[in-house]
This record gives sequence, C-alpha cells and structure tokens, in this order.
Amino acid sequence: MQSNSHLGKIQLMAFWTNLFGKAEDKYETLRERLTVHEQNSQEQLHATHPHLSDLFAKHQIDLRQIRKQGVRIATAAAVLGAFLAIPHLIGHPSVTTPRPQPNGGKEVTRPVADQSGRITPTAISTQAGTPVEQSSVGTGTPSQPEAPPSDSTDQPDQPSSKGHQGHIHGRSYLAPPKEHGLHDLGLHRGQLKNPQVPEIGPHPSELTVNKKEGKT
Amino acid sequence: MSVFYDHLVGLDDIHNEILEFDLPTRQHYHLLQIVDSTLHHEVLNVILLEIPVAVHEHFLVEFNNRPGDPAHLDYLKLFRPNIEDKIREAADGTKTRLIQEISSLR
Repeated sequence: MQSNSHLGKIQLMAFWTNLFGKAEDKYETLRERLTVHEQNSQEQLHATHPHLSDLFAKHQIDLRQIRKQGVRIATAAAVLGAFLAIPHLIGHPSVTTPRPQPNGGKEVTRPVADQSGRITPTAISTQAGTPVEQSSVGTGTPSQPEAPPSDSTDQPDQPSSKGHQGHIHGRSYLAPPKEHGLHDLGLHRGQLKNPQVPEIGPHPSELTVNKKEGKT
Repeated sequence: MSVFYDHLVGLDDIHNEILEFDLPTRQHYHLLQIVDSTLHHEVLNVILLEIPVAVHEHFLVEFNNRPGDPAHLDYLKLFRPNIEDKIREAADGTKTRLIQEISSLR
C-alpha cells in the first residue's frame, strides 16, 4: 500500500518535471529558430543597403531602440488615457465650468501693470461674481478674485453675499424636520415661550375661538 | 500604434500560433519581440528599396525621432504611391515563413 502511494508520488513528480521540461525545450527551440530569422533579416538589410552602417553610426540610430521608443510612447498614451478616464468611469466627472450669472457679463476695470511697471486701469469684460486671475506683478500682494461693483440697488433680485446655498442656519433644505419643530422659533424642548422675546400678544393656545352656533 | 506602419503589419497570426505552445507569458512575449524585430528589418529593407538613396538619411533620422508619426507614410508615398501594398506584401511573406517555422516545431 505504501509502495503504491510512493510510486504515485514519483509519477506525479515526473509528470510535472516532464511538463515544464518540455515547455522549456520548446521555448528554447523556438527562440533559436526565430533568432536565426531575425539575424538573417538584419544581415540582408545591411547587405542590400551597405551605407546604413555609416548612417546608423553617424546619427546613433538603433533599430531596436526605435521599436522600444514607439512602444514606450504607446504605453504612456494608454496610461494617460486611463488616468484621465477614471472620473468618468466612477461616474463623478469634475465640473470646472463656472455657472453663468443671470445678470450676464459686466464691464469692470482692473489694474494691469504695463511694460514700465506702472499699474494702469484696463477695461475688461468679465462675468460678475466669477473669480478672475489678477496679475500681482509689483503689487506684493497675492492675487485675489475680482469683486463685483457694489451697486446693490441695480440688482434687487440678487441674493446677498451671505446668502444661503441650500442651507438655512446650518440645516439643509433636504434635511428632515426637527422632532419638535421648536428650533426654528429659537426655543428648546419643553420650552413653550422664549423669555428673551417680548410677548406681542396672547399665545395661540390662549385664544378662544367663537364658533357660530347652529353650524356643525 | 508604436511605429507608423503598424496598422499594415499585424502580429495576430504569429501570436495565435505561439499561443498553441502554451508558454509562460514572459517567454511568449519574448518570442513575439523577436518576430517583431524580424518584421521591422524586412519592412525597412523594402522601404529603403522603394525610395531614392539620396533621401535615406533624411528618412532614417526623421523615423528615429518620431517613429509613430503617420506623416512618414505620406512622405514615402511621394516616391512610391503604393508603398503600403509593398510593406504589406513584405510583412505577409515574412509572417508566412515564420508561421511555417513555428508550426513545424509543434
């Protein structure tokens, strides 16, 4: 029984050794045969065009390097393309285009340094509220986004600079309402009246409603 | 595309033929590289035969600088309009020889 299992192990080892050995032999044989073809083609090229050796030496041209260089370029392009496609593949492409403002473009002036280093105002057309790169040459200050002119009277519908963007007092529009609904009145749980707010009239619970008799 | 004539010289036939040997990936691609180099020499031989010797130097320098530039093909067509057919014929002939060699070892 033990000899049988031993024999089986030997046969298994012989099988794997044979398998890899044969594959290695095949590879070596293939490599040798194909290398002969490669050398023949190279010799034929130089035999047909004997001036190539001088040209290759003069310009340091290596045919194998040409192939490798081409492969490197193709690989780099593929890697770059895959990298750029990642945001789209995960479904979150980055949006960098600024939103157009409802009041359109406005003519604003900004200082621009001329060739002599003096700063002169130059009229440019920009979108109000859109950050604009400002040249900081000679000013010694970091560039700041261009602020729109303070003509709030012209823009009655324009929200204020402190305007909420989807939030009111730290709460999202989409957030579910509070449990007791008192926070929006400045009250806390169990507190029916805010002591800091003067009473204007009676609490709605104290109001008596006169119902017309006869109606149901 | 790695060089400008790659679309005329496919390695799929050779690749499939070597696949029959079920070699490890590294060995498989090493053999493909040798075949690719052989085809490279053959194609370059045909190209240089088809264009004047006076422009060999210019072409080789440009090819060395920008191997994948498709403008090389347009340049070659100035001298030989059917250069694509010539390249394809040379590549097919070489591939046939190599496939016979490979399949004889199976």
